[in-house]
Amino acid sequence: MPRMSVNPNRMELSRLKKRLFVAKRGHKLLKDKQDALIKAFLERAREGKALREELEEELAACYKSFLLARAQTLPAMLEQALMISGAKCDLRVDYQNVMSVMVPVYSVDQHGSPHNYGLATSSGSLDLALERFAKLIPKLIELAAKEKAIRLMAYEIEKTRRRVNALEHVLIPDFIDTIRYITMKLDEQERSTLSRLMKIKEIVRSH
Amino acid sequence: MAPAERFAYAVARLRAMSGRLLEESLIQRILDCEDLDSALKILAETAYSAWLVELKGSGDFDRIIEAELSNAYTEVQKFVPDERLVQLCRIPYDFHNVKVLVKSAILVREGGERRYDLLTSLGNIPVEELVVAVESEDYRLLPFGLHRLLPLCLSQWEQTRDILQVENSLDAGLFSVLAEIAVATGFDSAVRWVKGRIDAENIRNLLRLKRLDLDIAGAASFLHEGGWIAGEKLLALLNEPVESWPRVLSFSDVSGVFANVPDLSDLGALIVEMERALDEYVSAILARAKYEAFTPENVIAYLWAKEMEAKNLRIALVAVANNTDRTIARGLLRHGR
Repeated sequence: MPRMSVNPNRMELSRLKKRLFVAKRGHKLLKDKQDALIKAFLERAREGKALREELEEELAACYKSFLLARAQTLPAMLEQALMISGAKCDLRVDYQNVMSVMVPVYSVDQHGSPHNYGLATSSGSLDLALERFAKLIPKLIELAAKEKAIRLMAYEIEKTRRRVNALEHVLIPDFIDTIRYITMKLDEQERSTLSRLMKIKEIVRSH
Repeated sequence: MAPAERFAYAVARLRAMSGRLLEESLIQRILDCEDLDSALKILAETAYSAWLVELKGSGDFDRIIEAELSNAYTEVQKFVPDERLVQLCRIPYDFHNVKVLVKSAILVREGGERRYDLLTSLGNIPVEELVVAVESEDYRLLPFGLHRLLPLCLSQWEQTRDILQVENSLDAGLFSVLAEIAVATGFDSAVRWVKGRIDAENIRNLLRLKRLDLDIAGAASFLHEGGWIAGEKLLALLNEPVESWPRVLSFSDVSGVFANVPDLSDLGALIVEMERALDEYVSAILARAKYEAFTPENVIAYLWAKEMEAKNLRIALVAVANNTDRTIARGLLRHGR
């Protein structure tokens, strides 16, 4: 194992011991954070998947009813009907702290009616399609928020995992090795001092 | 007024042209196709083949439908003794063009873009003339009451900023011009057809308004005068459940339409079904024309049949292009040629 290049003295030893203690504590905390994040991530991922599947079905139904409207009208008439929209969507973004990840929470407020066109040059299927799309917008926004949160959490899990691995496999073993090295060096020094003293004492006694 | 005898030549030509209308079996064959290319191959066997060479891509089929319809209008206009009969069928496209121009003018004022690509050549008024009139704000020479209606609509927008109100004024203008022209031709059949169309439009609008839960005061502006059924009677329908509408309307011909619709309880499905049934009701008004050799209603009957053909073809091609459920598409097809 590679050890750190340090001066093998007691001061350095005590400093490294303190750093090892902090690293072990940090490792435990980060490990706990990673576990909690994975748990929250899996929960959200399951919810997101279910919502996406539900929305994909609804979206297909919406497009189907829009297709009915498109099939029964001149395309230019359909586009003309939708040239000026009567409905407006206000989107607000708030942030929620989940395990130190700032997850966005979108809230959408729809005003006005999507039926903002004359009835003579549009078909009834268009009313149905637009209503379905209008109902779908809050769910689409909810899905967007969920998927954004999932992406942010996945990035945070990856970051935490790298930190935990760095502590577990690099930093802590390095500290341990360096501490062992310094301890050995200090013991060596102590032994050599002791033997030197004994030698001197023997020389003095023989005279 | 053009004497009925003058229609002998026109009716003979129309009979010959009717032979070129697409058969129902051909539309069914198109619907059975697996892809758009095979559907267009079938179309190449018909009168539409002339326009297939102009096709830029297989998804561009709307262009050939529009070209064939425009050609039919131009052709009929050349030999018909009274052009006003053709005008009757083309006016909705003029009003569509006017809506595009009014909305474009509004969008430009709000910093948007003009959408002149949505203008259609199917109308009576040449697109260029209409654009010049709107761009130069010189509406004096516009026909069909548009010289009054256009500035009125723009000022309505300035005052209310409500595009729905503007569209309602234009729709009201459309149906009042239709009624005026029909009366001016002096042909009973044209008047009957326009009245039937107005009734059909009013019933269609009422169903849509009923689903939107609009009250009587709000719904009044969506209904048009000039049909067989009075406005008050129609408005009273809003307070009735849809199931009792056939009974309330039993005095009029349009009540028969409800008999062709199996389920009156689901309003969403009913609207789609009724649109088809009402188109067939309008076709049925002119059904007698088949047996008369000199009547002007043959002109309207042919042009309306051509409109229905374009609609059926569009339904079939959209269904094939998007690979949707063919049963639904078959349910939307208009019959009664």
